[in-house]
Amino acid sequence: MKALPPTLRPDKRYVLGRIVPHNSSFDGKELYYAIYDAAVSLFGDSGAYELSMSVVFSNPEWVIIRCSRKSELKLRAAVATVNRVGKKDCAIRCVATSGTIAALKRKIPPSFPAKIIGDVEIESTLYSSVSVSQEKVDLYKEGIKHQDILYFTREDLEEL
Amino acid sequence: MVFSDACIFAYPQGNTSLRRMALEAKYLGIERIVCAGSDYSGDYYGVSVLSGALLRPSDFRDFGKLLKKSKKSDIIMSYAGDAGLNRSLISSGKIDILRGIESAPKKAFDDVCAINALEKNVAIDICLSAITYQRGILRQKALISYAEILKFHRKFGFNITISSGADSYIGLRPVREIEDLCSLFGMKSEEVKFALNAVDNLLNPYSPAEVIG
Repeated sequence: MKALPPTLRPDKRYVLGRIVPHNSSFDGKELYYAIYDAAVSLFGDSGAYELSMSVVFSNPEWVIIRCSRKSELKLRAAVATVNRVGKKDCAIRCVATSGTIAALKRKIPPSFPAKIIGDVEIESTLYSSVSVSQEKVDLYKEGIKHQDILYFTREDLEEL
Repeated sequence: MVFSDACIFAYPQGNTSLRRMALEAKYLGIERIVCAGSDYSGDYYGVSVLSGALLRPSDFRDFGKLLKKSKKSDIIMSYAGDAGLNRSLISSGKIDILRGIESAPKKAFDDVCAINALEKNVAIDICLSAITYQRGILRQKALISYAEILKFHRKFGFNITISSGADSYIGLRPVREIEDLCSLFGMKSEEVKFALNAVDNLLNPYSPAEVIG
């Protein structure tokens, strides 16, 4: 089928979302299914179809989602209800909306490289600590079934 | 306006320390958090932290016992129950926030409760975790009950608080996202902002001017 001329194509909007926690590394497909599932659950099949959403860009911390114009509010509400991607707890926080991908990419700040600090003992359990910003520290405990994560700050660790 | 998250759960109830919660709340535009089960009240990273006592009474007599046992807190919250319990809790004036109205039975909150809530300055809480973490019929019920509360609020003018009910910083919600979620049951942006400021109204209730001397 011949492609529509640009003037007849439906208008699109792009929404920039920040993925939390910081170290999550999801691929675009996983994110798409999570957001689409949330949209279907919230608005039903016809509502989700009207969004005509797709994930156009993703990296470990950021995602850009495309949707039809005037359905940004619906999309943001659906994205707000995402609390799990794959098997990991996570949230996507919408930061900005724009008409072009380039404008949103300009808004992505440089990421802070995570640094491994060392081991910390909390209530006789050993956690490995990773600094994710100047103040924030994530503590990881490898279990048999899953990974336990605690979210602390440097001051918390100093007090321990 | 001081935007507040009316109920969060910090470590050890959740997996995020109170300091980290405050830090993340600051980045999300929240200036005050009420931490249930914590006895700390003060300031972290410019975010005001209030201690909260969250009670789950089975009847009003049980509420009295739980209230005596609980530590002294800035904000006292109680889970809602049937209509009788809710009326007693609100008219006693001993609680600041009535939570969990979405899981209460039908007609648990009526016009009598609404009038009492206005008189006794008791706020009704809208917990966003009921919308974000639940699916299907449970979420539909939550949306219906919040829409009903909103109707009563518009008619009688009592306070509504908004809480994330987060036990991890992942569950905290920025102000814009709160507006998006509240729009699902018909709450307008101004109403959301008023509700986010409601904890301030509970701490400093409006009273008519008095002539001192």
